[in-house]
Amino acid sequence: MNIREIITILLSSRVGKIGVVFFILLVVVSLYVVMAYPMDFGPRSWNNPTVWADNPKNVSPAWTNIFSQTKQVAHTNFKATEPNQVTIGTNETTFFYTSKLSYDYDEFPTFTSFTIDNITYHSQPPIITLAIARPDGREILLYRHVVLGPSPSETMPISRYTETPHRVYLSGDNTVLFNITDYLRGEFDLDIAVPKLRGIIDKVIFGTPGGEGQDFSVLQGKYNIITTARTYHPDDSIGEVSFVLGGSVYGFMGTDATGRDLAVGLLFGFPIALLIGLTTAILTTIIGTSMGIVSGYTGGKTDTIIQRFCDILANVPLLPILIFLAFIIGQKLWLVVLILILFGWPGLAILVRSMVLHSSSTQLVEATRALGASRWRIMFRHVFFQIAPFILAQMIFFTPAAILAEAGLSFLGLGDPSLPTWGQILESGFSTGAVYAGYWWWVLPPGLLVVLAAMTFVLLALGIEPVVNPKLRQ
Amino acid sequence: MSIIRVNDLYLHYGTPGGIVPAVGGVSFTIDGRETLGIVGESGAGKSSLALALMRTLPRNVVTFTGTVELDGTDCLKLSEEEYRKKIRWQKIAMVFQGAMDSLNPVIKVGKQVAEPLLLKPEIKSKQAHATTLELLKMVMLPPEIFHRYPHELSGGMKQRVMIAMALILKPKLLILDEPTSALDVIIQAQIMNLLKRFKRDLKLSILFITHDLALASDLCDKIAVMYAGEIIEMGTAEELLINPKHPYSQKLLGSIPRLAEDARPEFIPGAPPKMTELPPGCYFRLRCHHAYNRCLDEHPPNHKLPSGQLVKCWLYGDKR
Amino acid sequence: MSPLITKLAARFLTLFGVLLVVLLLVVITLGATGFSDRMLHATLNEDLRGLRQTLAQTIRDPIELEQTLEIRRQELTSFYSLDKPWQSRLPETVWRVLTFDLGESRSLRSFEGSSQVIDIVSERLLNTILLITSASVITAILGLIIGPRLASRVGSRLDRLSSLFLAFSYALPSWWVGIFLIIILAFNFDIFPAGGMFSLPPPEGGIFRFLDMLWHATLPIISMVLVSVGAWAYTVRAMLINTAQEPFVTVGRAKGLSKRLVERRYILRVAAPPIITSLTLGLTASLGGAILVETVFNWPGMGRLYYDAILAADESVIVALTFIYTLMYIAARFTLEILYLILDPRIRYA
Repeated sequence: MNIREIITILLSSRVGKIGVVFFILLVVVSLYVVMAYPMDFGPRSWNNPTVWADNPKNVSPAWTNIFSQTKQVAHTNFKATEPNQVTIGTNETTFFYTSKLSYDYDEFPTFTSFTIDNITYHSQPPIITLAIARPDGREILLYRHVVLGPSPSETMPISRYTETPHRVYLSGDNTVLFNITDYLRGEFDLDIAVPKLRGIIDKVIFGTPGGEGQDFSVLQGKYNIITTARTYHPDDSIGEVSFVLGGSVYGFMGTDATGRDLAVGLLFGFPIALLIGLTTAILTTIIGTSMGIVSGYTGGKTDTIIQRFCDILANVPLLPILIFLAFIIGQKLWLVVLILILFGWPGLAILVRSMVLHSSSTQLVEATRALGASRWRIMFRHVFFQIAPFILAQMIFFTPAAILAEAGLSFLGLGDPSLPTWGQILESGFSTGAVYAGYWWWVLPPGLLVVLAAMTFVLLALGIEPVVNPKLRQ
Repeated sequence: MSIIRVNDLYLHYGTPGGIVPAVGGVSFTIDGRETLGIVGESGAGKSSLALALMRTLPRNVVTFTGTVELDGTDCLKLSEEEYRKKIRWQKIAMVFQGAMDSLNPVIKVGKQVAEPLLLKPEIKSKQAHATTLELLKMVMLPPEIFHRYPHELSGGMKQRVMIAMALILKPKLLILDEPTSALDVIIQAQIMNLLKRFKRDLKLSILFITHDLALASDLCDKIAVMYAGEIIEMGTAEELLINPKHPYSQKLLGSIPRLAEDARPEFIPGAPPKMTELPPGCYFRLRCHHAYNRCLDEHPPNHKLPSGQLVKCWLYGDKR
Repeated sequence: MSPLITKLAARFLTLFGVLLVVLLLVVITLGATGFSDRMLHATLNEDLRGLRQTLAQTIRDPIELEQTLEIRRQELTSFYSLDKPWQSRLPETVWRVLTFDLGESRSLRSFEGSSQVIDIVSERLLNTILLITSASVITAILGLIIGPRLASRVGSRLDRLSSLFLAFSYALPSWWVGIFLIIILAFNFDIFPAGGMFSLPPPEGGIFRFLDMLWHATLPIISMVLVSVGAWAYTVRAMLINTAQEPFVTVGRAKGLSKRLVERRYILRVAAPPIITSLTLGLTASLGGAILVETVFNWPGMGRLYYDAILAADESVIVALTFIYTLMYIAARFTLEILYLILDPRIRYA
């Protein structure tokens, strides 16, 4: 039974076809991820909060907007590197950056932030301000910031905010707080206590107060975000200023509590799942089959010893051991794979051995032996080919077990923290209470992907079944 | 007085490769205390015929027509339930091929033999037990066998258990499908002697299926030769063995080695036809030395010879 | 000696071997990674700290205090065998675990407040067994109902749809199903509680308490059953199909037995031993699944304890739990082996 025949049988049944389609999907996505993302994506980007600082936290995917009755806020990052207008004065040059924001949403943004990136100055530190012009004509000066002055050891020119941008969350900054208080008092004659004000800054900026200053209703319309940077030397440069309107939805799969784009994290899980599954399966199969064949064919004392050994190992309950070892030795991916292989091959060896015994007692093998073929030749040419389809089926079946084991382990918090696997994402969701908060986009998709990946291999195994069991062939 | 009369029995299977006409228009009668032997190569349709009579057919049957008259009742017209309750095993019973796997491995032998008896509510278990022991004695098995499991018995013992099991309800017709193929010659002889005794002592009609002509000649009164699902010749044992008419039967007999002569046994050239691709005309024509153009086109019907033999061959029809 | 007894003894020895291997693995890992040393050092320092407080009240002279403590430290070090390499502590540790002398937990407490590991574990044991047993029994029954139905309709649409469902069910992680069910049935529709074993406060009266517990147990059990029923039904089906092709089944039908009788006595009964074997293969999976399900549903069993112990980094509990789990597993396997021997006369008299 050669490869072509196996593939034909695989494609002849509905389950086989679906399995193959899913498998190709898995491989294609994995290849894409491997090529598009660096290998150290985990520790460098995924676990690095600054990468995700501009994202909204705990928001559902962008497409849920379709089902929502109110229009959700689209997450927008208003970046500007070039000013719209430059006013040159005697000693100073002011850059104006204006971004237009069309606010036609029904909700308030989840947060607002202002970031300054990469400033160089030669004499006096520049002054940056942020103001917003509302559709009702009111303008709020939100934030004023003097770039950090030179320390005694520094010499001109001075660069600031090159490695780490200066990021301000408007709702958490005291300057903003005072400015807003002034604005409220001036425009609406409202006085709101500071603690309460902290929580509703975004509502004040984008809304109009109702009755006693209790409820704010969304003010839709065209806003202008005006950033100014006053510099005191012609060679001073401003790298980038950006204003982030924190959306109430984001991305393809939403975000988690740190603002991480779950779509990216989930994507990264594809090649890892495939890697774990296939590596474990292939190695377990190779070791288990070899030992099984050797044991079955050699017979005698070797056989008995190997069988006893396998018997014991195959009976060890896997998850408790995995938990224990991950806990003690450390949470490393290779450890999980190692344990899975170590305790997986004996089961296969036992099965292979009984099949070998069965097929080596056939008359075909007797005859071949009578013709003078060496034992090894018989073992590989005849016995192995007889049991090869079965081994293939077993190998395919091992893969989902490995994927599920790793996911389960990660779920318990014992996974490899440097890699964003599906189980890890689920775990961070579960342990931060995402389940109880109803953040379904965080906990359901990873599990679904685990299921789909595992299911692919089960379908493949089912599709291969007729190869192993000729009675089922069409 | 015929016990069983089979007329125009057709049994076709549906397989992925096409329709297999396993039994194609078979007719015969068996009288009381008569033994009919069905002889043929593997795949000729003998076992299918047996299964058809028992109505224990596999799932992929597409055609099953004809009449099987037993004691006046057409068995094929009965519903499955009626057939099961009235006919199966009670009027017709069968000893299956391959006693190795024909016994339920987890039930004690005695219980298996008694099983059909115990199905009847009017029979008490004590009575069934006694009847079973009697039968075991009849097939020359020690009574301790009752409490053994099948895997503890030898091949010959198992076969005898099968025979006892088949006789438990005192059927009118006993079908034996290759009862001795898996056994060595000594056991074979024992079983054949047993059967001959039964034939003599019990009022049994027997349908004896085998590929072994010698065995058939030993036990049977009439012999029918099957080829590609059809009976191509049927007659008394003597007629057939001494004077076979159909070219196939002739070749079959010619293939038996003779101890007293130097002549080499003949063989039949070619191979039996593929059942899904039966040729038009006579099925045997591709291997027959006597075939002529009529054999190619027209399928031969049964020709009845003055001696009473039936032959399905154009050689015995009106020559054209 | 009867072959039956010999076989049973051999199985028992093998399973005991498993226990030993696991135990050794645990203890050696603890020793080789220096963990047990750290654990014992921590205990030793605890002892000394307590001692220091007591002594400081009687011995005023700081030098004398330190000297006394130092002597005590030496004594304790040799008492805990910390001065010898960890290998020498092996036999004693193994013996202690085997005799259920499981020590104290650092941070976890039993419901009554005891810090003895054995108390903590044993009161949760029952809860876990409750969950696993109910789920297993329900799965087994469902599988034995669905399996034969599927087997008698091989190749039909129902059969093919079921293989799709089976593939899906096999790939389902039980804990994810649990989360899914919580989100839908507990939050969206509020039919079942989202976790725990009893409502707070638990209702009065035996029967109400029991019903309350059942209500809480429903979702976890459903999760576990959904995940394993697919593979189980399919295994049953495969075994039945295999057995149904055996010659003696045709003989059974020919003997005039009704279809149902043949299915029961000739197919099901004969396929029972290999079905039991498959049960044992799925046993590890269900144990592992139980750990995860308990975690998701906050069910106060051993699985949840495992999770809490991991979070609290409490080694003694983890070691004890690993041991108890293995023990449970072995006990279950051994029971199944006995069952197999009862059901298959071929092995008995071979």
